[in-house]
Amino acid sequence: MVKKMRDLVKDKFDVRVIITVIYMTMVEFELFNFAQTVVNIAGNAAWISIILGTIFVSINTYILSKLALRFPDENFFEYCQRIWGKTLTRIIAVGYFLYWFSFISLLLESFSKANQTLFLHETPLIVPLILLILGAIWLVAYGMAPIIRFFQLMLLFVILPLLLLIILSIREIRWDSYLPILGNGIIPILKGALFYGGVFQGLEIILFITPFLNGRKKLIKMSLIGVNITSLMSLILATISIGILGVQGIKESIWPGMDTVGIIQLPGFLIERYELFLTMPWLIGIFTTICIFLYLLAYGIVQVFGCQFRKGIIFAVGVLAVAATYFCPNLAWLMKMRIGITYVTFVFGLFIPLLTLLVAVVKKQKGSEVNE
Amino acid sequence: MNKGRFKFCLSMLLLFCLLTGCWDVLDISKRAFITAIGLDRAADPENKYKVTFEIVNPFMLNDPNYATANIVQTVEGDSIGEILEVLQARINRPLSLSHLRVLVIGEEQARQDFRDVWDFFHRHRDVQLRLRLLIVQGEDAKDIIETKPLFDKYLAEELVSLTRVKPLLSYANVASIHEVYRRLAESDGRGLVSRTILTKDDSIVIHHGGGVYNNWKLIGWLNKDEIQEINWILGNANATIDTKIGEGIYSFNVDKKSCMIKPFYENQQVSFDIMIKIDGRLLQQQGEHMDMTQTGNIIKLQDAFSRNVKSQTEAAISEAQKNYRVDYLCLDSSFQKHFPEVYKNLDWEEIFPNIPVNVSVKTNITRFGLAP
Repeated sequence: MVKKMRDLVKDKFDVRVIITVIYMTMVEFELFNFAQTVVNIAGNAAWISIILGTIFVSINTYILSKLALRFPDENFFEYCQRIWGKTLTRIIAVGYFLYWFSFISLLLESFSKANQTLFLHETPLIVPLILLILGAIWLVAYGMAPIIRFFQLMLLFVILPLLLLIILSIREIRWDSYLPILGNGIIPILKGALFYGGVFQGLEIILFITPFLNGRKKLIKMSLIGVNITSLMSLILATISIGILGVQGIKESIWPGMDTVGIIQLPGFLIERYELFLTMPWLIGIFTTICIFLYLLAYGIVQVFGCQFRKGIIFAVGVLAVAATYFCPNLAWLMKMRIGITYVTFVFGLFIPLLTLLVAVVKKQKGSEVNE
Repeated sequence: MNKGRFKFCLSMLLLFCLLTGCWDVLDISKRAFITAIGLDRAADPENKYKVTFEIVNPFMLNDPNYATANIVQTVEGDSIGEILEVLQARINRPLSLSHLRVLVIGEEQARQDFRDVWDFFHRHRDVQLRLRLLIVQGEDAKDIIETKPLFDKYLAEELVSLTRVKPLLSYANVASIHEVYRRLAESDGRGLVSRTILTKDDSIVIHHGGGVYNNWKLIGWLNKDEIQEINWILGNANATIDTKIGEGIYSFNVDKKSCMIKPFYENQQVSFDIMIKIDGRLLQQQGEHMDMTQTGNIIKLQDAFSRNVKSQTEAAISEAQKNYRVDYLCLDSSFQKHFPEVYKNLDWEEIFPNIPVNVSVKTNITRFGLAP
C-alpha cells in the first residue's frame, strides 16, 4: 500500500529553501576534484564546458520542476503509479533504489579513501564510516523537515570557507593558463559540457521535496537559482584550479582540490595549512549528500513496498551501504565507478522524468492545482 | 526513569566513548617535524640518494640557552621512502613532513631527472606543493643544511625568509617545487631553478643566480647578473639598475614592471615581440647632476634607462639562444598558447637559437625622491 505524501507532510517550508537543498545535495566529493574529469576532456577550456553544461543542467532542472509542479502534493513514486501503472513503477523505483544505493556507497568509499590518505592514517576505515552513517541515519530517521533545517544551519559553514579559499587563491593564478581558448576545437568542449550535466547527481530531489514546500509557483525560478549558484561555485573552483595547477597538473593529480590548496601561500596569515577551508565544506557536503540520498532510498522503499518498519529500513540501508564499500578494491576502481555513475545519472535524473512528463502531458494527467 | 531520559543517558554514555580520541591522536610535542631536506647523490655506489634532514626540536625553540633548535641527520639509501624509514630508526618520535618547507638539491643530484624527485614529493600526503626548491652550485645540499642560521633558530625558516625578502630580490628567480615542475612540464623539461651557494668559509648561505634545466636535468648555471637580466622577462622583482649618461651615473629602482610577450608566425617564420613597461623612482645621482624638476631631463633619463633595460634583456635572450641554445625563457610556452597547431609541428630546440626577438622598453620615472 502506497502512503499518500501529503499525509506525511506536517512541516512545510518556503519554496526558497530549495536553493539550499539543491546546493547542499550537490556539494560533495566533487569539491576535492574541482571538475577534474571535465578538465581531462576539455582541457583549459573546461570553464566553457561548465558554462555550456550549466545551460544543459538548467534545462534538466526546468523539466524536473515542471513535472513536480504537475503533481504538487505528491512525490514522484506516487504519480508514477498513475502514469506507468503499479508494476512498471516498481521496476522504475527499484532502478532508482539501486542508483541511489550505489551512489551512497561510492560516496562513503570516497570519504573513506580520502580520510585514510589525508587525515586518519592509522584509524580503521570502518570507524569514521560508522560514525558518519550513524549520524546520517539518526538525522534521516526524523524525516525531511529536520534534514532541511540541518542543511540551513550548515550552509554558511560550507559557503564561507569556500569563498575565503577563492579569495586566497586568486593571487596564485597564472592568467595565461587559459590560453589557447578553443585550442583543441569545439568537440572536447561539448563532450565536457555533456559530462558536466551528469555531475549533478541528486537533482531528482526536486521531484520528492515539492510536497514539503509552500509558494510552489516559484519552484522553477528557485530551483534554477539553486542549480546556477551551485554551478557558479563549481565554475569558479575549476577555473582557479586550471589557473594554479594548469591542465597538466590537474591531469596528474588525484585530488586537484587538495593540490590547489597546498599551493596557496600567504605569509603572515594566521594559519599555514589552508586545507581546513576545503575539508570542512567537504566533510559537511558529504554528510548532507549522504543524508538526502539515504532519505530518498529508505523512504522510497517504505513508500513503494509499503514497509512498516521505517527506522529499521533506514538503518538496514545505511549498514548495507557501508558493507558495499568493501566491494571496491582500490582508488582506481572507485574513480572509474564515479565516472560510470555520472553517465547513469542521465537515465534517472533526466531520461525517466522527461518520459514521465511527456506521458503525463499526452494522457492529460495532473494532480491538484498549485494555489499558494 | 522514563524511556526518553534513558535513551538520552545511553546516547551520552556512547558519545563519551568517542571523546577518547582516535588511533591517530598524537600530541604535537610528540612528533618530529622535518623542516628541510637536502638531497644529494650517494657517495656509496650501492645507494642512490644521500638525504640530509633538518628536524626541529620544539623544546629548544623557545629556550634562550640554545642558539639553534635543529637536529641534522644524514642517511643514504635507494629511495627517499626507504631513507625515511632508516631515519625513523634513529628518531624516537614519528617523523612528519607536514611542515617541510625547503627542498635543497645538490648539484650532482640536480643533474639527474627531476621527475623522479618530484614524484615522491607530489605523491606524499603530508607535503605541501608550496615547498621551496633550491639548487646548490658546487656543493652538496648537505653542506647547506648543516649551515648555522644567522637569525633564526633553524635553517628552513632562514631559507624561506630569504626567498620572501621584500622587496623581492632581482638576483634570484624564486619558485616553489610546483612552479618549477609546471614550468618544466610546459616546456618539455626546459626552465630555470633558483640557486644557492655558500660563502668561501661555508658559513653563510647566499641565495641568488639560477640553474638552467634541459630535458629535466640541470645543464648549467647563471650568475646573479644574468638572472637579473632574465627577470626583466620572467620575474616580478624590483630591480635596481645603474645607467651612465656622460659624466653622471644614475640609479633607478623599479616599482612596477610588466612584460608582454607577443609571438608571430608569418611566412613560416617564428618571431617574438617583447614589450617591457617599467615604473620606478630615481634613487641616486653621482657625478654630473640633472635637475629633475625639468621634464626634459626626466625624458632623457627615461630613454637612457630604457636603453639599459633593453640591452640587458637582449643579453639574456642572446645567452639563452647562443650559449645554452635552450629556451629556459619559456618563449615556447607563449608560442604554444597562441599557435598550438603550428607548435606541434615545430622542432623548438632546433629553431629556438635563430628566432628573431624584438625588445622594446618603456620607462616611466614616477618619483625622484626628496631632492630635485
